[in-house]
Amino acid sequence: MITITNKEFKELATYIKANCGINLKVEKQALVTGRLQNVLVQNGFISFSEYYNYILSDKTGRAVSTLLDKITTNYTFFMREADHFDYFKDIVLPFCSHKVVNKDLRIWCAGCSTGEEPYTLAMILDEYFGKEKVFWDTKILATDISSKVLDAAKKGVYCNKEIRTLPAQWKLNYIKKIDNEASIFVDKIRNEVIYRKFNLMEEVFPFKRKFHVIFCRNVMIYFDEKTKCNLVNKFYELLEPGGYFFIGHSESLNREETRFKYVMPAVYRKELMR
Amino acid sequence: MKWYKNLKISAKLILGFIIIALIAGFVGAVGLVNIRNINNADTELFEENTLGVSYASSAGTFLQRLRYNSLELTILETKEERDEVTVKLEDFTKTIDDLLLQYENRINDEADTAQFAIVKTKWEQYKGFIHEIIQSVKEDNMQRVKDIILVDSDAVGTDLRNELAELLTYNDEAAKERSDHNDVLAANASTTMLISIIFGVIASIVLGLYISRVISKPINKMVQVADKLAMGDVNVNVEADSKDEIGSLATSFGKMIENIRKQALAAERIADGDLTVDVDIRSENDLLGKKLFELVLNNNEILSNIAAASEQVAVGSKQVSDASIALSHGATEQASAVEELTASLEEISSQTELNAKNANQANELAENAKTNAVQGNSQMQEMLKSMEEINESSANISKVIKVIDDIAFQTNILALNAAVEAARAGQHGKGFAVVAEEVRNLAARSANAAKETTDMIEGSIKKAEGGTRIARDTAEALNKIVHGIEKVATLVNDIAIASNEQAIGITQINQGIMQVSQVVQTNSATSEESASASEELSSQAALLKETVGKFKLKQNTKSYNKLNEISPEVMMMLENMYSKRKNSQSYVTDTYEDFAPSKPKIILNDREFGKY
Repeated sequence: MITITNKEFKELATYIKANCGINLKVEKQALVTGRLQNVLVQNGFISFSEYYNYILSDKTGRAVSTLLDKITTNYTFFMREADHFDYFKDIVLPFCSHKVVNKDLRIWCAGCSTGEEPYTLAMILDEYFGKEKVFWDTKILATDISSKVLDAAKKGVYCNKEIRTLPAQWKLNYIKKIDNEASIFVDKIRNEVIYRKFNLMEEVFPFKRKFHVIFCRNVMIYFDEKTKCNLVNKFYELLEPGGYFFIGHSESLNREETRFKYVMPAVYRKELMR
Repeated sequence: MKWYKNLKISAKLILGFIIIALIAGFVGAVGLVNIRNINNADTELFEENTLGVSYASSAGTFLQRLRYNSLELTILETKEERDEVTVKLEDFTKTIDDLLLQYENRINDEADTAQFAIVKTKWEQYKGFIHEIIQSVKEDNMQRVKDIILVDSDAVGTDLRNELAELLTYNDEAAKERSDHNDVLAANASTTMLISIIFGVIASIVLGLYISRVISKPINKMVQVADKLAMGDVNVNVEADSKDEIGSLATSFGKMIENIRKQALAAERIADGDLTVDVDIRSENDLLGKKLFELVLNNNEILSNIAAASEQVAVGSKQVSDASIALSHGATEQASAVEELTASLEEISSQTELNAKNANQANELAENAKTNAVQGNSQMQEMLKSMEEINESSANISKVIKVIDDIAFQTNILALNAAVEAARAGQHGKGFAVVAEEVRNLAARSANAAKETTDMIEGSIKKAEGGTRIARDTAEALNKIVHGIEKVATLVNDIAIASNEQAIGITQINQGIMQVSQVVQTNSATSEESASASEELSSQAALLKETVGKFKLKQNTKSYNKLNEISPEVMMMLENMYSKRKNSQSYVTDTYEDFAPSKPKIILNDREFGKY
């Protein structure tokens, strides 16, 4: 096992924080060491310094991509924090279906990981709109910083054990079994999600229009307060008035500082214009 | 020369020698023939010519003796002596006859014959004379004798002598000629001999070479073959192209080479891994064959065992590999989950700390509020008191205002008076009028002010009363607040304490989780390493199996089951892990694919977002 020195860790942590916002505290040394072991061994580096220099000197961007793939924690599962989905279905969608006049519903899953969240939303949307769906454009934007999980998400293939928690109706309508091990989402659902690679640390968010709903659940737990604040502000700017903002249940926004209105735990809203 | 080659070597040699002997014999024969020819020629020379010379010369000599003796007759006195001579004359005549006869007998050419005929004629003549002489002697006619000798026979005698000399010369020449001819003959014979000797030598040499070649070539071939064999090269061939000993040797060699090649081929096959060869054992003494056989047998056994074992190792290590990969995946997932949990907990922890801080702050504020409320209350009392005082003051002020009002009234009247006076003063009083006007204004203003002040004071008194009332209410309210705040403060205190405890508790949890996280991360890394290692092991085992599989083995080897299966417990455990892995295998985490094509900057975004 190649070990990491404090200095190396600090260098790497600074670099990572600068590039993708993830805040690696000193306790995370074991995490970093463990996750990067393979990369070092496979590429023949003997120390983290070597690896760090390689990342700095690599112009193609592949080294950074690999680093981020390894460092990001992509833990997710279907129907995670199901309360959100119920609220989404019961409150948010009715609001949006009335409010959004041009029938272009804009939803963003920031930090979509392996795609469970956006696909769930897609299924909810499909179920909710039913026949009216043809008039609507409800494609969901799903972004993440790690190419690895994006590729997996695009495939739409999940193992049957994961799918188990989904309602039977959904499994019937939206999921095709490949074999005993795995299943795949039908094209109808897969086409409803636009997967793109996006770094939330970008200075400027290059989106054409504002969003109606933003999901950013269990992403900002990895950022420090300042980063989180900045990001939340950006999200605020990007939401339409009356737009909803969902965060992880273990997260909260500082009500003193944020302009978001608190709706219920982990649900916030940009107030409507007067 | 097949038949020759097929002879035994001894036969070949013998035949060869015989041939050489024959050649020698031939040469000898040629020599002998030539010698005989020369001898013949020589004899001929002698008989035909030398003898002739001898006869002729003898005849000549005897003629001379005849003449001499006949001449003696003339000298001799006594009868006895004469008779002796006569006898001699007869002898000599006989001898000459013999000689001439002998000569005649060996005449073989015409010239000779002619010449001899002359001689013979002359001799006959002379002989006649000699007879006459003898007769005369007998008759004792010495005179006749003398006459004959000196006159009659003289010419004949001389002629005869000359003719004899001619004959001699002729024979001499003939002899010489013949001798020359013999020389030529001898020379020819020499040449012939030389030629036949040369021919014989060459033939012998050629034959010798041929024989030796016939014998040594196959031997050399075999020597070369043997050398090659000695170097280990079995790609040699020996053909027996004759039926002699060498052919047998070649056949035996061929057999030997065949055997060696067979063994070499068997060894080649063994080296290539094909252990299904059947090695012939040719005899009790066939060491190599026996040992090869043993080699094949033993290797079959050993390699079968190894193959079986390596099969099992491959299977086992594959299962270990699969299990450790599954473990690694599980550990990685676990690490992810724990990391997420850790991050969430940190979030909660920081939030709780914030809460505790806020609660503490709230506590403080509540205390402050309470203090302030109490203070407010007391200040309220003060205020009430102040209000009373204000009232009092107001009343006093009222009084004073009253005075002012009076004064103002008075002033007004005075001013009015002044105005009147001013009016009265006419022109000189205009200034005064103005002043009076002003004073009046001032008075009015004073009065107003006084009035207003009075109103105000009354208002203020009312307000003060209202204020007092409010103050009293407020005081009550403040009291309530104070009580409320006391309660709140207590609660907030509890909250603060609880929050603090919660914060501590969550810190503990956090610490614990962090420790777990450390361990889990390390486990994840370790299990990934062990997964790699066991994958390596598995591939090595597969390689081993493949390597061993290159040997083709005989199927019926015994002692297969010396190496049993992996112990049942281990097997079961591996199977369990294997089936667990199958259930929890996530296609998602299995894919490690290449990344999207890189963008020019090292920025990690896509460029366009569809409708977004």
